[in-house]
Formats: sequence, structure tokens, C-alpha cells
Amino acid sequence: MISRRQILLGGLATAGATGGILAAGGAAAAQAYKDGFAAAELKAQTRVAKLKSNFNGKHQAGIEQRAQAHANFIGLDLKPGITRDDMLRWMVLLTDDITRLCSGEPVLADPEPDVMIGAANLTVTVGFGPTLFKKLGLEAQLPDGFAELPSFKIDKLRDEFSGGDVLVQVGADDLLILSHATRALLRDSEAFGQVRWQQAGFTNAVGSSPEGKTQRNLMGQVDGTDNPEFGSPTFANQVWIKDGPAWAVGGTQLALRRIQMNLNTWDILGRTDKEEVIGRHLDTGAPLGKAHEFDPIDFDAKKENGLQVIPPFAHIRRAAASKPGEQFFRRPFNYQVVGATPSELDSGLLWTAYAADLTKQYLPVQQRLADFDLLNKWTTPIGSAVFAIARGFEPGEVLAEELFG
Amino acid sequence: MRRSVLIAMALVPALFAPIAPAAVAAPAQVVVADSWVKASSFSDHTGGMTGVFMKITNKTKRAITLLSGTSTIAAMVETHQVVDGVMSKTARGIKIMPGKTVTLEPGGLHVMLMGLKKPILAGTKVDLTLKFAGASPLVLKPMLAKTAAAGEETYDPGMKH
Repeated sequence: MISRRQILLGGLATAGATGGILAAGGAAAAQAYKDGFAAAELKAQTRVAKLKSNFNGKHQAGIEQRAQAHANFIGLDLKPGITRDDMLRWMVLLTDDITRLCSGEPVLADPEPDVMIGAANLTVTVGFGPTLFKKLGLEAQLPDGFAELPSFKIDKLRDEFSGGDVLVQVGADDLLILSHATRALLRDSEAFGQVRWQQAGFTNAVGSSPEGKTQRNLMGQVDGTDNPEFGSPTFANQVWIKDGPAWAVGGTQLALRRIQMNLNTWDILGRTDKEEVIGRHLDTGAPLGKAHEFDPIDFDAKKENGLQVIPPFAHIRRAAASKPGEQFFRRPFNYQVVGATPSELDSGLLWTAYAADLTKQYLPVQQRLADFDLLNKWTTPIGSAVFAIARGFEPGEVLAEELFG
Repeated sequence: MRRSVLIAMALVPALFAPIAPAAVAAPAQVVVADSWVKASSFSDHTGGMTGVFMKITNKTKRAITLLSGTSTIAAMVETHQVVDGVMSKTARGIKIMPGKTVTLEPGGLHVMLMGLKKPILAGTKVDLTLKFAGASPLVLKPMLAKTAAAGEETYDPGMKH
């Protein structure tokens, strides 16, 4: 039996017999090594651009996945005279755009195709506001529990961040790619919709925070601890519509609220006060009195002085489900408008609730928070919109074709 | 350590490259990619016209010429060019040498759909079969009509078809 060592030695001996070839082989090996090294470096440097999200399937992309580093939420109103047939053509265009963009390719007829260097986890999520169903006479296609939200006493809503017939939610881990993709989607929407508002949000960059770790908002709080786990039956139950009109089965409902934060007054509070307002420790995100973020909340625990560990006004107490089913999925993005006024930053949260039935799952919670939640002192809802998100599309299908077809 | 792992990974394909099977040569053919139709005020009515754009690669061993085409939506299909912003019919079609790709794009060479039987609006799907000299007719996948600002050209009112 010939050993591995003998083969290696034999190879060297053969090569050694012709010195010239050996030298050439050495140079080639050195070059191959350098080329390989450069290729590996390049791969590492362009890693984020190459990330792709699955955009085909039962559900649209951009929901059951980590919030990307950046997102644009665009609300559009139908242009006058737009029909269901026009909507279908719009959806054909968006379906083609989504397919190409999420594959990291420029859209057809992209005037600046070179910008599209990859997908960077790009996702596009399309939904429809209650006003669209009314305008097109599609009230029969409304999923259960989907309706305009009532006004809450805490609301100071502004038209420029509220309502809308159509939602285009775009997320990506690269802001340049996101910007280019957003423009492509809006260019192809121009014949059909008028932009009503645009809201940009962000989270940590890829590579800054461990995957799966709950993100923080600009008030310093961990935000989204109670979210259902991706891929779990709980997630499916909370988020995806199970029955109703065919276009919506596998879709969901979104409440998008623009929550302005008064960070100047929030900053004045001491750390203990801040923790009592929210009901969690700031550092770990653990419920007050507990050590870890995901420890179960003990709402009955009392301090030695008889006061509740988690105060009656604490946000997590008011937000907790009072009966089964009052839960939903949040995928918030932070916002900050630099230069909104010369002296002050406008900071806050593009707060989202995704639920199979907003009326049953989200409304009671929002009502409780509006009625009494100390956090309201430092937060103000200044925008609000709801959208029914269509089911996902398979290759060859057109987004929301059952709704408009 | 991390760097050495990266290097090792990078070297693997390089080492195995020589024994990878050679790519099987594709059968000689004409390949069209990224085809689309322009939707504009010229195409939004019956009797209108519009341009079709695409990349055509000649994978055959001989020169071919795109001469014209047929579409259920147009009475006439021609090959056109834009010179100094003015569009006209190409005298002898669009020649594509072996192994070469010709890009039909706004402001340059394109296929013209004329005498539209139905309006072409953004999002309309359009069928087209290309006719060549030197290659078989090519049925394209239904093409998407899109609005595009690029290459706005003058439609010469005196243009002879």
C-alpha cells in the first residue's frame, strides 16, 4: 500500500527532475495563493450586499425576519380614476420589481442599474388601507378585524404621517441600495399612486449587535422582548391570517404608528424612575425584580414597603394581555429627523403591530395604553395608519391578484 | 486564525479548479434578456406606437440580422435607430456578429411596435416574436411595459414607414 507521504514525496521528486517547471509551479502557487487571498478579502468586504431574503412563498417578506438596518415606509393614495384593472397592472410591475430587487438585480429599465450591487437583505412588503377598499368597491374583500383605528386621547396625529391607500414597506441592510430600490418602486408606481407620506427608520447596522438580540429604542429601552419566535406556531397564530378572502390568507394586518419621543424631558429622569416607567431593568431588559430579559413577569410581586415591584402605571403592566389573544408582533424601527428644526432633533419610533386581527389582538391593548400608561408623558403618537398586507406570491404569481383580478 | 480560515476557504476552489468539468457548450442560439416595452403617451391609445428594448446575444457561429417581428398587439414591427435624437427606420435591420451582444435601449437601437391594436399602459404584458436573417424566429416571453424617462426621442412627423 502506498502511503500519502510517499505520494507527496514522489510528486516532489518528479517536479524536482525538471528545475524549471518547479520554479514555474512555485510562482503559479504563489499567485494562486495571492488571488485566493484577494478573493476571500473581497468576499468578506461585500458580505452584506450578498445577503438575500426569501421573497416568494405563503407570506410576503419583511415581516417574519430580523428588522433590517434601514427601512422606508411609503404611503400612497390612488390617483383619480384608478380602477381595479389599473391596480392589477401596478401589482404586475411591483411583482417584477420585487423579484429583481430582492435577487440583487436592477429593475427592468433602471436608468442607474450600476447602483444595484446586491440585495443586502432587501425586502418589499405591500399592503392596502381601508380607504382603498372603499374607493374600489372592494369592501367584501376586507379581512376580519381590519378597520380604521378609533382616535385615542393621546393622539396628536398629523396628516403627513397618517392614512394612505397603499403601503410599500422597503427594508434593507444597506441604505444606498434601499434608497435606489425605493426610488425604482416609486417610479413604477407613479402612474397609479401619489405619495402621501414617506417615513424612514433604522436599527443597528449588521455586525453591530448579535443576531436575535432584542434591539433598543432611542429611549434606551429594549423593545420587542415579548415578540413570538420566528418560525414558531405562536408567531403563525399571532400574525398570519388563517381564513377570509383568498388574497389575504397568509397575509396580515399592520398598524404603523409614528411615536415621537420627548427625549429632552426623558433624559431628566433618574435611572430608577425610567425603569419604573417601563417596568424593566434598563441594562438587561429583565422585568423589575428579575435577572434576565426573558424571565416571566411577576405582576403580583410586592416590595417590603408593600408597593408593587412593577408599579400600576408601568408600561409592561398596561401592555400585558388581559385575556388570551391580546398579543401581536412588533418590528419597530427608530427614526430621527435631522434638521427638522434648527435647534432640536425629532426622534422617535416607527412602531409596528402585525396581527392576524388588529381589532381583537391590538385594539384592547392600545386602548389600555391610551387610557393610562405613564410612558405617554414622554411619547406622542403623531402618525397612524393601518394596512391589510396581501399574502405572499409564488414564482409566476402576481402580488394581490385575487384582490384586483 | 479567522484570516487563515478565510484563506483556506479561498484556496479550495483555486486548487480544484483544474479538475472541475468543463462547461458544456450551450447549443448555438440567439438569447434575449431584459426585454421591456416603453409605456408612454405615444402608446396609451389604439393606433399608437412604442419602442421595445432588450439585450440580444448571438450565440451562433455566423452573423445574424434582426429584421422585424410580429406581435398580436401591433400591426407593424420594425427595427429603428435614434440618431441625434431623431428616430428613423434602420435601412438593413440590426446586425449582430457571432458571439456579440447588441443592446437595444432608449435613445439608441430599438424595435418599434406600430399601429397598436390596443393601448400599451404601464404594467401591460406584450408578446413579440423576433424575425432574423440567419436564425429562426424567436418567441419572447411576455414583456412588461414600463414608463421610463430615459432617451426621450422625437418622433419625426415626416417619418416614412
